[in-house]
Amino acid sequence: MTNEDAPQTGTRSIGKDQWVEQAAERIDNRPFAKLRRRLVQTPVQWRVLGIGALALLFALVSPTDYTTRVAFTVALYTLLATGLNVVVGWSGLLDLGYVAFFGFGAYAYALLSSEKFGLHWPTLVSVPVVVLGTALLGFLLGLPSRRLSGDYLAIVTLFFGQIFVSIVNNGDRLQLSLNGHNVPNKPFNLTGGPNGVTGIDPLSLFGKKVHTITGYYVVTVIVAVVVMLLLYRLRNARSGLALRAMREDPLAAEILSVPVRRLRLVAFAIGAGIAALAGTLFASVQLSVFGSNFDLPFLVLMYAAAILGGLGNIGGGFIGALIVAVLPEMLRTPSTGRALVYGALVVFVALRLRPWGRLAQYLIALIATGVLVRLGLAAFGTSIRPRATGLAGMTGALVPHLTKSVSFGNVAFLTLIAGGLGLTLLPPKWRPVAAGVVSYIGMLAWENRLAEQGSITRQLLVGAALVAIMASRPQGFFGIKRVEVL
Amino acid sequence: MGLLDLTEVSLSFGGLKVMQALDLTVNEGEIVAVIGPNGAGKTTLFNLITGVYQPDQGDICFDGTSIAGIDPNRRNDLGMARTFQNLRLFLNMTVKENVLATMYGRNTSGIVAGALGLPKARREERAMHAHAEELLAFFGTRLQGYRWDQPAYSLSYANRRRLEIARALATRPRLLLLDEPAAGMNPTETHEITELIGRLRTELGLTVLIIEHDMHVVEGVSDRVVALDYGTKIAEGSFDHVATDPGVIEAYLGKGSATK
Repeated sequence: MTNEDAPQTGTRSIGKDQWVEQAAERIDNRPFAKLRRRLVQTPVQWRVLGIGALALLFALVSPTDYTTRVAFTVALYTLLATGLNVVVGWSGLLDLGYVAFFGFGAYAYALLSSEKFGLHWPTLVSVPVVVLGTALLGFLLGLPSRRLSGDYLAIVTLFFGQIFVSIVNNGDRLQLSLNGHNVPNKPFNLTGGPNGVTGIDPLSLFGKKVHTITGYYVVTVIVAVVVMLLLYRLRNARSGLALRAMREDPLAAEILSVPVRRLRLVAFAIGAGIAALAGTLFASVQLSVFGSNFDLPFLVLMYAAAILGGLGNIGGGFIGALIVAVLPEMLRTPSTGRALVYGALVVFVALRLRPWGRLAQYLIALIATGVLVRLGLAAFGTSIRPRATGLAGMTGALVPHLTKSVSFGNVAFLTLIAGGLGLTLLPPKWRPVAAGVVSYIGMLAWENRLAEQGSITRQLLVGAALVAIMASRPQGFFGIKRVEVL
Repeated sequence: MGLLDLTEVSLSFGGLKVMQALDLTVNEGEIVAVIGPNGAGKTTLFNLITGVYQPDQGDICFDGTSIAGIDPNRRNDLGMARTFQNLRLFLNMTVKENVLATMYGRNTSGIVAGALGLPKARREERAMHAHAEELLAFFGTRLQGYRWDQPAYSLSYANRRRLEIARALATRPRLLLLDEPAAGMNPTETHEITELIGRLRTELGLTVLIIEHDMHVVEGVSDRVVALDYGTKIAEGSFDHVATDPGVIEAYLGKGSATK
């Protein structure tokens, strides 16, 4: 073989590529090249273990049971988001019945180890049985839907999730009517209906019963770390690669030896098993389970966690869980809520309003709005007296400390929403100015109305935060930007 | 009897007959090119062979046994692999992962072994990586070095075509179906691809069925050329024979073009 166009350098060199040859050089020239290399070269396993160790350390320094409980929620959500990542992130199956597997695991554990039927299976027996049983259920659910994908699969699994809640809520009076005979004679109470199952055994590991929330936290962290390590291993193993190829292009994968239909079932089963594992932990820490624990809003929360962390990224599940579990808690008290809101505002201003000219425009607009509001109030001689602190307070050497007013807050809130929407429609040139006006109104609304209505504000802010996060980083925190069509 | 035998294969989509009683034989070690104008049924032929479509009539045999009704992934296990005309790489996986993923059928370690990292799975993975590196080396430095860990979508068009071939080779096929491997390539790259197809036979002992519009490639590699039009075979034989066939010229250029 000869090639007149390119000089031959070896027997195997058909083509040469300068860009490739200079790659090492380019990488060395990037800023922080050494640090980056060290970070990249640290095996993922060590990073997971490191975060796990830090999480365990938190159990020691956690000031109250309440904080430990929040931390437990983070660990539990991490486990759930991780399982969801296998089904949705790797395999690309939109499984909307995921929470039902979580519920199934919780109920199965509740029935096997509780006062309900007097079965007190030891933890180390019941948990594996429940996990394997639920994985089998996932497999069976997959069977009729293995030819489905995309929207259709989503519909089928969504039904499954809803049916599960229905069955659980009505499972306290099971009875069949056959030829006028009732079988069994008295209605059979399987799930306890709306009253749920109570009196569940706590976990008992190696002869010790786990009674404290700290104990459950430690167990859950260890379980989550182990599951993550296993999945990191699986990700680059034969099956993990095939699952991911299946998401990218099912047809090409199937033609090139990947048994797509079978692997769909396997992905379902893995997700179901992990969800069930989380379910057993959930049931044992609550000591009771109810159908309403496994409803649609919880599914949405888990999807939010998985998507925020970056679909397909195992570590992302942790970040996502951290956000959806901790953010609502932080907004529970007005003082931390205030810190968070003003903090977010400052970060936004620092990040988005560059260079200095834009920042100046923003600040001038902010102060000018304050002056105008103040002047307007004075001119009308009205009794409406907005209260202002924080940044609004600073601009408001001009706005003195006034008493609060509900109606003023309401007006400000509506103006804020309108202003926020209007902001997106403005040409970029005017945005810093408009942002200044909107921020001032936002602060007024916050101080006069929102801070008073903690529970509603919490929902609003969590929603706003999620929208902001998803808009600024659509692929999730750890997610790598996906390219669909080029 | 050849490695691949199609007898009287027909397929229609509703009233549209896309394949009409096609007979085709590909012998072991042969390189056969399929040509024809757009819409002649070339890619449909590949889809029938790989199991994307099931023929309405007729039979397809691979290595002497009928493969009618067998799933695409099982057909691959039997020893056939293909590339796609419009490129169907696993775009968000890295170059190396693209090649590793399709080795699924040639390996056996299961999910549990993979997750736990049992010695068997580790041994298999090492072999997979070695094989993948060997396959990527087939294309010179183009798919080497840091490119291994880059997502497939970052590759240039020509490199994607090369990766498609590497990915198909990873399934250790006996018969390779190439759907327009030189489409969108410049003359130098086309020349390379022509050379490469020759090497697939000499170095890997493959039988190749190739769809190609670039007549330099067809002339350069093929032992035999089959011309299709409207789902039927209009000519078959050596390149010179088919290229001068009046029916073929008519199919490409319209009626009356063959008469001078």
